[in-house]
Amino acid sequence: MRSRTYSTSYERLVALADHRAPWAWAGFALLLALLAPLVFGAFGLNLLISIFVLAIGVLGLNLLSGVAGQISLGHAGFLLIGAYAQAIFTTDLKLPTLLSIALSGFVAAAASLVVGVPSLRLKGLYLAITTLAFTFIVRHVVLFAEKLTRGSEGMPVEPLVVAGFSFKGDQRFYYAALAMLVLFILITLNLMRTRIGRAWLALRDHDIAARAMGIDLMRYKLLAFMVSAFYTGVAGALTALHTRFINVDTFSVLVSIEALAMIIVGGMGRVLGALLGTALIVMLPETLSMAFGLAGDGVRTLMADRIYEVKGLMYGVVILLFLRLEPEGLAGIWRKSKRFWVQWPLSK
Amino acid sequence: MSLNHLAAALAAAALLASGAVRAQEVGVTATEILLGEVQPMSGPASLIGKAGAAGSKLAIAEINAAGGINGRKLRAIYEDDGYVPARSVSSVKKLIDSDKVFALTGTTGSSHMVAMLPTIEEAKIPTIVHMAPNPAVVSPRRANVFMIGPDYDLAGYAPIKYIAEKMNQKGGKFGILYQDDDFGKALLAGYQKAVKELGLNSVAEIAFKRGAKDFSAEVLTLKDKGVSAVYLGTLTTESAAVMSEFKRLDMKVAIGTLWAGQLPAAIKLASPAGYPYLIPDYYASNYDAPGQALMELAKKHLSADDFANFNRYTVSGYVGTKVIAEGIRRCGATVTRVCVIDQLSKLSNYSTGGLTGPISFNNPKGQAVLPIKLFQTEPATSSVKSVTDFIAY
Repeated sequence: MRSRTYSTSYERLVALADHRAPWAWAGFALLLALLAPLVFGAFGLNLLISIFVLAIGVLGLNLLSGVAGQISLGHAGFLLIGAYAQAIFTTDLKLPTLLSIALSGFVAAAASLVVGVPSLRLKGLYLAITTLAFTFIVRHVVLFAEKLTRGSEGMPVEPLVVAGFSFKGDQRFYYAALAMLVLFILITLNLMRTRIGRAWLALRDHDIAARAMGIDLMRYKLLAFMVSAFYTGVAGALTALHTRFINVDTFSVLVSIEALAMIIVGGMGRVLGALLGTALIVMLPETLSMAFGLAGDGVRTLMADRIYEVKGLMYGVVILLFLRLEPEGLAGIWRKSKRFWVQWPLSK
Repeated sequence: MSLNHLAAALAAAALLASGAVRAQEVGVTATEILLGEVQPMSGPASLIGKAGAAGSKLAIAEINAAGGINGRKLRAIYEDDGYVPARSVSSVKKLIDSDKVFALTGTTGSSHMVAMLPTIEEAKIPTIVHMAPNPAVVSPRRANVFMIGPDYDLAGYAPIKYIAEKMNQKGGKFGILYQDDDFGKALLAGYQKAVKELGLNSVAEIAFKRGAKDFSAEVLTLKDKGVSAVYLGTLTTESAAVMSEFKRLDMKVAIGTLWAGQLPAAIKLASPAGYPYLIPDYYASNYDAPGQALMELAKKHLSADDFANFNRYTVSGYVGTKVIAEGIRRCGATVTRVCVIDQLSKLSNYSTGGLTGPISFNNPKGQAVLPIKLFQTEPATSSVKSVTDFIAY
């Protein structure tokens, strides 16, 4: 029987996965994802694209809040910066779209210093409020910088084109979003097993102890903000490429709260948690609609115009339930289920 | 009949039947036609979306109560986008791809419609835009998209013309407060057209940023310039905030605003300031005879919840659905998207029973540029009266 407890070499300790099973599961999930366009229509693909794109941003937030322990309510701001940067680079400056995605990430990373620097002196609630204020500031800057952003009118966005091949249309863009998500999952898994990832964990668990161990708090906190904002900026750029039109209304403060809900529900600090949490929260309104549909036409009609209000309530309920009953989130449930079957019949 | 003849007859019948099945259009069955709407039914714009959906429900209930269209009943699915463009795109994809609606009669806000346009155009689905007449929707012309409503500049032009000619302000000093975006600039263009045409004295053209809440500086500027008539290119809460500043500074001004000014919530908010302001609209109000007749019909067909949402956008939703129903009716028993689009593009002088001027889409843009009626509020009773009939400017 596998105990999964002891790693006898340094290589095993820093391996991406400690056994073949996770690779097999990942391969299976990827195969399903690759075949999804054969099964789903435009709406289903649209939902999956939303999950993939948001998951990249949530992976970034997870690195900052779940791994490095720095709370942020400002990720809607980074998402907005990434989206507008993409629109400006491609629509106005006519830069190649793939290059623009990377540049959008870097612009968001640079902007993160605005909140990253105060984070050196702030913690907890104070940091949350500072980052929240950042979102408001960014929204206002976009509205006022009309010559650059076209203010409240919004901006059209050029489609993704790589080496002459256009990813216009849901089916094509689906594969682009999937490829980007896989890339960012691999980057995240690698990052978490490096010195940087372990320094962030130490920072989260006890910053004074981490400093005593020789970890440069300023450097690693700023790095956490910049890396997280880069991820979110890329997610913003992909959001812009997906909807092909952006304005500030898409990036309300609620987006930051949704992103936090995703990592709490999924399981803080875990890559699988970020993915599962994103999928659950994005699917929540659709699941509710289906549940209302099963309850009969009367309930469906009554709830049709209240779906996002109910969704808002459900965020609270779902977060409370997870915090009370399963603080490790969906990833924790998955881990416990696996352990149950691996150790059966001796599992508790 | 020999066995061979019977077999041939059965095969022919089967072929015909399969042909009929193939010819069945998306969203159309022998008994039902499915419509779809994307509306902001939650969030800050919910009073618009809920009212629009109520209008559509009313038209559908009325049509179905009269036996439907050529034997088919109408049914609609309403998707809430929360007034977020990304969600509008997702919602319209759900309606087209998953719910498989035949036509769209609700297209939420103006930038939201711009975001949905590529999907709508690609699906070649008949679409009626009746709530936010954004010129970008019909320029360039999209074969399957039809828009009801005049360009925004007329909303700036009509009240200023009335104030100058009917309220003895020809020699007065005029000013405008407008939102610093395309929408506001269109209103400004209409205001400037009226000023130029009538030889008026415009002393202040002040832009404000969307989302502004405090207008004290702008209003002080208007007072310093000595304006006696002002056009407010503002929405519900902003108009009330500006009028409250007018009252605080004890200003005597004639005021014109745009159609959102006749929403009951807007009138209630602005009433305490005590200014009777002018409202242009291309739809009947729930305070005039055609609008009140529609309210009576709504009492009969709508739930108490839906009826409570009644406002000008209910008229808008009702008219939009009646227009698509007319396109469907003209196609007879064989209802296809191609046929409905063709019929709508030929629509000329369709009467809505006084709820709007006659609707015509047989023009290069597929836009019904409707005549405008002017209303005036009565702050003492928080109500509205019409001061003109529908006039083409």
